Formats: sequence, C-alpha cells, structure tokens
Amino acid sequence: MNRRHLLSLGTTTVLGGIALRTLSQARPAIAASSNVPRERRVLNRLSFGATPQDLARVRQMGINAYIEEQLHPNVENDPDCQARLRAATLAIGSDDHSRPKQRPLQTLDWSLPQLWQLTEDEDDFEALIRPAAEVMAATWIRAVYSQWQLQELLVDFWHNHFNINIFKDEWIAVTWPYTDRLMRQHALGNFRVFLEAIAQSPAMLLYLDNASSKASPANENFARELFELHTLDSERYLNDRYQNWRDVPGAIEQNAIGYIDQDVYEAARAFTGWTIAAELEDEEGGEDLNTGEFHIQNSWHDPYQKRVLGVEFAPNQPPLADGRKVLDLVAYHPGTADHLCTKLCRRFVADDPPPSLVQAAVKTWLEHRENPHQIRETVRVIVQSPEFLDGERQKVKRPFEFLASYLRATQANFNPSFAFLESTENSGQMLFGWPTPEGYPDRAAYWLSTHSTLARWHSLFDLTLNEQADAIQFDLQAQMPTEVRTHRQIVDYWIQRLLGTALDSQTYEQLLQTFSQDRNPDSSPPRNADLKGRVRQLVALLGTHPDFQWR
Amino acid sequence: MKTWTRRALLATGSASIAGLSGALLQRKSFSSINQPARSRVSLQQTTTAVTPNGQSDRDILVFLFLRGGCDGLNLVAPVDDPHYIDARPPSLRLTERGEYAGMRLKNPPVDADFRLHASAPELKDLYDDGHLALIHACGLTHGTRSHFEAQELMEWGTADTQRMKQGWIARYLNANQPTGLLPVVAISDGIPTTLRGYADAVAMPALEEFVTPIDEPYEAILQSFYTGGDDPVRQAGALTLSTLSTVQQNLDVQAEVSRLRAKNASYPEEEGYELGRTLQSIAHLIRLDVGLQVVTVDYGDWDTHVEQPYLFTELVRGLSQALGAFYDDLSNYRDRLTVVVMSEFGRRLKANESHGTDHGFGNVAMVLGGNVNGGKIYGQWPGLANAQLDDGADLAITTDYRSILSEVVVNRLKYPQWQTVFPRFETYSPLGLFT
Repeated sequence: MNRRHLLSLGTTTVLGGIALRTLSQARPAIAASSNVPRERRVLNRLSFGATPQDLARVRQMGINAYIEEQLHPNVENDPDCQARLRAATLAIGSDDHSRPKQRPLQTLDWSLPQLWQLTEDEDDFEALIRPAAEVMAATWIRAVYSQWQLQELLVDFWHNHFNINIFKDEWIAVTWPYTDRLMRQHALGNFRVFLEAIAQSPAMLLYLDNASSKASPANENFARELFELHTLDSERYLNDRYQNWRDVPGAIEQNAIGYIDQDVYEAARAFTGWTIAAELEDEEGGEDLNTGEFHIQNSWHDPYQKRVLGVEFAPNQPPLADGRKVLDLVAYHPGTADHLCTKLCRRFVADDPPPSLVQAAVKTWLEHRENPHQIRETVRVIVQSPEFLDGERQKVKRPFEFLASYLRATQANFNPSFAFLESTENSGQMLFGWPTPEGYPDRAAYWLSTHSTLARWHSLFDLTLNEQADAIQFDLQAQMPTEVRTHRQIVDYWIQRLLGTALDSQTYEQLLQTFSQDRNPDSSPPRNADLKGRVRQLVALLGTHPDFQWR
Repeated sequence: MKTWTRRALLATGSASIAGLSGALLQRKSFSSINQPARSRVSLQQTTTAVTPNGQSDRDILVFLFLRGGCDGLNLVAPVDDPHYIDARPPSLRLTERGEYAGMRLKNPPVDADFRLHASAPELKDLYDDGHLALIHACGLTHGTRSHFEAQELMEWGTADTQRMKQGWIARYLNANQPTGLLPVVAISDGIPTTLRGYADAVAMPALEEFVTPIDEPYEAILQSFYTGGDDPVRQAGALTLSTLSTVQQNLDVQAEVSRLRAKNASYPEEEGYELGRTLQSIAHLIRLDVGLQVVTVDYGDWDTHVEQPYLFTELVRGLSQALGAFYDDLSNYRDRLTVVVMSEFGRRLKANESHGTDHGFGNVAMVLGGNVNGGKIYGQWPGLANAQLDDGADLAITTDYRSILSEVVVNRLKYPQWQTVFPRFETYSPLGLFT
C-alpha cells in the first residue's frame, strides 16, 4: 500500500460518510473477544490500567492473591506514591504567569476547623479553592501511581455515588480534603456508617442544601436525593401512590418496598436542624459558631410526629435521633442493597450486569450489614466472580480512566499543574465537577458520542505532543530495552506495551510504513531527537486505538 | 449568619479552575512537536457542492431543555392572585410593583394580571411582537417529582414509566430518515435521551472546535483504526471521523465563523454566555445550509432549592438574552425556525425556608418561531386555591406537554403520524399554536 493510497483512504471515508451512518444502526451488544492475556484484562479493570510492574507482579503472585491484597489496602505502605505526593506542587499567585511560585500540597490532612479558617478572608478566592485543587491533584497522582489501585477505583466510585459538585460553593471547595478523607476511610467499610458520615459532611450539607433547612417548610433537596440516588433508587419510587402510604406494598407492616413523595417530605422534616457551624448563632447565647463542623441547631428542627416508609416517628425526638432513624431505614432497606450492588457491578463488570451476579452481591451485602467491612466483602464477591475475571470490552474508559491509563502505560513522570487540571474540563470529566447529584454517567452510550470520542483523542494528543513540561514528562526511548532497535521492533514493542495484542495485518503494515518513513522497516534508526518525536507520535496514536478505549 | 450562596463562586470562579469555557481545542501538528501549538487551523475552502437541505418545507426544530425544574410560577404568574401572594415572600414571586415587579402580558388565560419576570425583556418583546407563545399549567402528567425520572419520561415522549428504547425525536427521525450532511446535532457532551435510538445523531461542541486531532499521514492511520469492525467503540469512532470529514471538506468553518461573528449579534457575555455561544453555533449551522433539521440544547441548573431570588433572576436573564440574540441573528430564517422550551416540572407553590422552592408539578412552556401564533398565554388556568392544586400543593396540569410537541410534529415538521412519535398519547389535541 503506497502513500497515495493511504491519503485517498481518508477521502473515501468522507464520501462514504452517509453510508457509514446507515451501517452504524446495527449494533451488537458485546464486542468480539480479543487475545489479550487474562492478567492484563483483569488489571485493566482492577486498576487505572495495566503497568509493566503490576503485570509482572500478578504473574508472579497469581490473580487471587493480588485481589486479596488489593482488598486490604495499606496506603502508608506505598513509598513511590507517598514520595510523589510529598514532592507534588501547585502554583500559587496567579498574578505572575511567567514564573508562578510553586507550593506543596499541604491541606490534604488538615482538620475541618483548620480548613475552615481559610474562610475568614472571604475575598481570598485562591485560598478558598486551594484545598479542592490539592485534592484533585492528589487524586490524579494516586490514580496513576498508587499501588492500591482497587482502593482508588472505589474512591472514584464513591465520589460519584455521593456526587458533590465542588464548583457550586467555595465553602464546599474549602472543606474538600475532609470529604475526600471520608470517601477513602469508608470506601471498603460499612455503608450505614459511611452514609451518616456523608450526610453530616459540610460538603453534602451545602451541596444538597440541608444546611439551610429549617421548619417549616423544610428544604427537600437532600431527603429526595437520599432516597433516589444514595439509597433506594428511583426504581423504588412509587409515586403513583402519592400520599396514599397505605397503598405501598409492605407499608402497613412497616416494611414498605418503596417510597413516595410523602416519605421524602417527612424525611426532610426529620433532617431539619442538621446544619454546619458556619457563622451560626449559638443557641446557648455564646459567640457565633464557626468551625465548619456538623452542628445540630435545635430551634430549626420540626419536632412533630412523622412517618417514613410506614414507620411511625414519635413527636419531640431530638433532631439527631430523627435523622438517624431515617438513615437506619434507608441504609438497611433491601432496595438499597440491590441499588448499590447493581451500581458496583456496573462499575466493575458491565453496563448491564448479569442479574445472578448482582443477586450474589446483594446476599453478601445484606448478610454483612453490620460488618465494619461490609463493602469489602461485597466487592470481593464481585471481583472474584467469573463474570469479572473472564470479562473484557464491556466498559468504555471514562476520560479520567483513559488519561490515567495512558500515563500508567507510558510510565510518564507526572505532577498535575493547574493547566493540566483545567484541561480535564475539555476532555469531559473534571473531577468533582459533575453538576447534578447523580454523578458522571457509567454507561458507554454517553461516552461514545462524537463529541466525547473526539475529546478523548484531543486530550491524548494535547498531553503527548503539547507536553506541559512542568506537569508531564515522557521518556519513552529510555524505556525501550536495548535490543529494541529496528523500526519494526519499536512498533512491536509499543503495540505490546499499550495494547497487549496484535493489530490486524493491514493496519500494522500501514503503521509500520508510516513510522519508518518509507525506509526499510528492519533498519535501525539512530536514537536521536527525531526518533524521540516519532516514538511519541507512535505512542499517542496507539492510545487512540479502539482497543485502548476499553477498560 | 452568612446567607448560603454561590454568588461569590459564580462571580469569581469563572476566572479560575472552573472557567474554561473560552478554551479552544486545537489541532495538533506532529511536525510541530516541542513548538507551541498552532493557534488554529485554517480550513481550506473547497468547491465541493454542499448538499442542500432537500426538506426545506419543514422547520428546523430547536428543542431547548431547562434541566432542574424551572420555577414557572416565578417566570409567568398572576400577580394579583391572593393565593399566590400568600404562598411566597415577594422575592420569590412576581409582584405588581416594587423590586420584584413583573412585566404585564397581554392575552392572559383568565381575567387576571399575568406578568413575566422583569429580567426577560427580550422575551417580552418577542411575545408582544407575536413570535413567542406561552403555554401555562402544562407538563408531564405522571406525578414524579424526580428530576432524572421526569426528564427521562419527557425525553421518551411518554407519561408512564414503561421503559422505552427511543426518545421521541429519535422516533420522528427514524420514521423520516432525514438526508443532508448534518441533519441532527446535539450541542452537548453526550447524546440526550430525546435522540437515543437514532444512530446518526452527532454531539458536538461549538462548531469551530470540531477539528481533527492530527495531521496526515497519521490521520489516515486513525481512519484505519476505525474502519471496519462493529463494536460500539469502532462505530463511534467511524461516525466521529466521517462527521469531521463532512465538516472540514464542505465548510470553510473558520472563515464562516469569523464572518458571521462580525455581524455582532448581541449574545450574552455573562450569565447565559454558554447558551448564547451554543445558539450562535446553531445559527452558524443553519446559515451554512448543511441540512440541519433537529438540534437539542440544554440550559441551566434550575434546581433552585435555595437562594432563588438571585439564581433565578440570573438564569432568566441568560435565557432571555440568548434567545433574543439567536432570534435576531436568524432574522432571515424565522419562517423555518421553531424553538420549543420546556422543563421537567415546575416548582411548589409554597416557598421553603431557605429562600427557595422545592419540586412541583405544572409549569410554563414556550414556543418561539416565525409561524407561531404568539402574544398569547395558551392553556386552561387551573387556579391556585388549595382545592385547585395538584395534591393540594402544586400547580395542576391542564395541558399535557405532548399536546405541544405533537402539534409541532404535525404542523411544523410536517409529519402527520403523531402516534408514531408519541405512541401512548391518546388524542391529538392541538392548541392552535401555529398560523
């Protein structure tokens, strides 16, 4: 195939544009299987993408032992990632663009009152959003370098399950390290405990407006999303029985199978007074409360009797008891087990996971409802299942996973800059930036639009070819073993590194010819700057290959 | 105590980590590695004939979805209704006079003082000039107060929760198989549910950002990566590449965009900037005559549980300015333009204690276009007394949202089989929205 033919190929496709569209209507549900080795397939879904080191490790210790190790993360025992976090910096002082000063990430372990002190100067916007930016940077570093990859995947899962948009309010941004620590602390823990920690976090109280909810009428926002998104799911929203709670099956036996608007309204009343100590009047007559911590404001509470999911609440209960009773009802509801297990299976296995696997996970979830490691036990069932271990090409990478997997595959040296964090908006997934409370979509259809597809390609070329020198360094030549010399060997090496499988022969020949620049593909180019650039082109191009778009 | 507000973030955040709306994707040249990226590629003008729109008897439909539940009772309302006055503080309703005074509308549905929010002067002009029709007490008759469920049902074009595979616009398109280079565009990251099930829907950002990521000879390899194969990733890549080629081979986009921008239509610079920019892209596409038939657009986060007086005013201002500029921009195309504006539900008549409103039911919808019988509030006004409210709490619905949409399909999209588009809608009941 000669160059002229290659060039004309593009034109053919243009003219065939309409025909391509017609073809695209027949869409098989499952992609054809590849020849990618099992270790790589498992690692691609148990981590932010396989690395040579992790592949070697899994081959050595076996998949089961690796999974068991990942289920018991010890983040302190992760020298490379810890060192990178300590060394990481973000610019301060946006006035001087030529030479921005760098400062380490320092708010990640600050206590809530410590973070809250940053609110004292409400005009210092840079200081207010700094904690959120530091969490963003640290999250990227951990995704790329943490050896506890399953933990990182779960932290990402929970950040989306309990989605909070940091851009709604700078007070959310300022407390973000605290929220992120909750996600990490409970990622493999107990759901009921986790739920209360999140419900009492300043970020959630602000994001879903419960912080300002008082009698009466209460603000319904948090209570509604608690039922619909955090616990029971809209599948169990039986609103055709609006206000007729007796018609909800099981309600009279205090065992309602689903919820109606009345449950939302009554739960909202139960949470009145759950707020944060933010320039809040002290009901005891002392100075204003201003620590940013969870606070019960008794005078805001609606004390009258309530009924939630058919269960009566006695009047004049303390606000904490009222709210906790709601959390007990929804956290332990069997519908919540089904909802959460379906979502976990969707995250790890397939957009529409096999019902048998979901049921197995639900059984474990319910059996371990009081277990402090309930989530770990459930995740184990999912990732040890044949559906997970044997699966592939079921999950399309979201932009976060896509870029992280590319940085891992290329062993890039990476310290996210503000410019990098900003660029993630264009790639379609700025962390903690999804505006509405359902979190980033977890189905391929959304991420396979023409816009998202193009954005993924752009982000990769931006990263590789427009190197943000302060943020990312690729040293690809140094990674090639000395015996990799010829054009063909270089192409083969990087195909193996990124894709772990062979290209079809026609595409392979075309790629090889282009990379060799019409020289003999079995000749050895000198290792110089020109080759450096060409290898980088090659690797970026391989990142756009369809096989690299799947987890 | 401090009022709970994101005003500061809105005011200053746009300059910082959230504010990238102006950033342009840039086409990278492999030959320019280690050099600053080229500012923007200039696409060569070709003499290839543009496929004309072969169905120009049909209007171009712009479906604008106000996600989050727009408070129709703060947008258009009878300011002299005592129940209305009792239910809300002045800052959360329209008043006859003072800071929150609305603009009086002619042709109200009942003999009452119906007014429009004061931050929508452009909409008022369009209404007065007969281009804009309002439909009140309209919406999704299914009683869900869930954003996600209500949006999905409306996008399916149904009123019950029996799952559907396709959105209502997709059903229309599949039955009509539009021709043209770019018949169906969603200006968004993903494909909205209205278009789900129509395989050729294209999602794109602003037109000038829809550029190829690499140059030849590598672009040819990208083409071969995505030629053949039938898995969803390959199909998405193939559609992306063919659309890119369509745009680049047939349109001198950059020149066109600069020329049109020079026209200086008054799209909003602050609130509503994104919407204005989106509508401006649509205006470009319409004028480029690529056979555009349907566009979907989302605007806003209307979920004003708190701080509604500030947030709602800004949202309405953005909506009004952007729509006004768009309509202005397309002064030569109005006879082929129908814009439908809807939200998934209205909000509760009674305000909450956080200066906001919670999820409600009936709402106001809008239809804008050159063939609209505007200057009138359509629909039966159900009243706001307790007994007249839906479940004693929310504005009742007297007009099913599908009445409006089916009238658009039959009258403006010239497709009489409305039952195909809305299979579980009982009777065709046009309001007489069009001339």
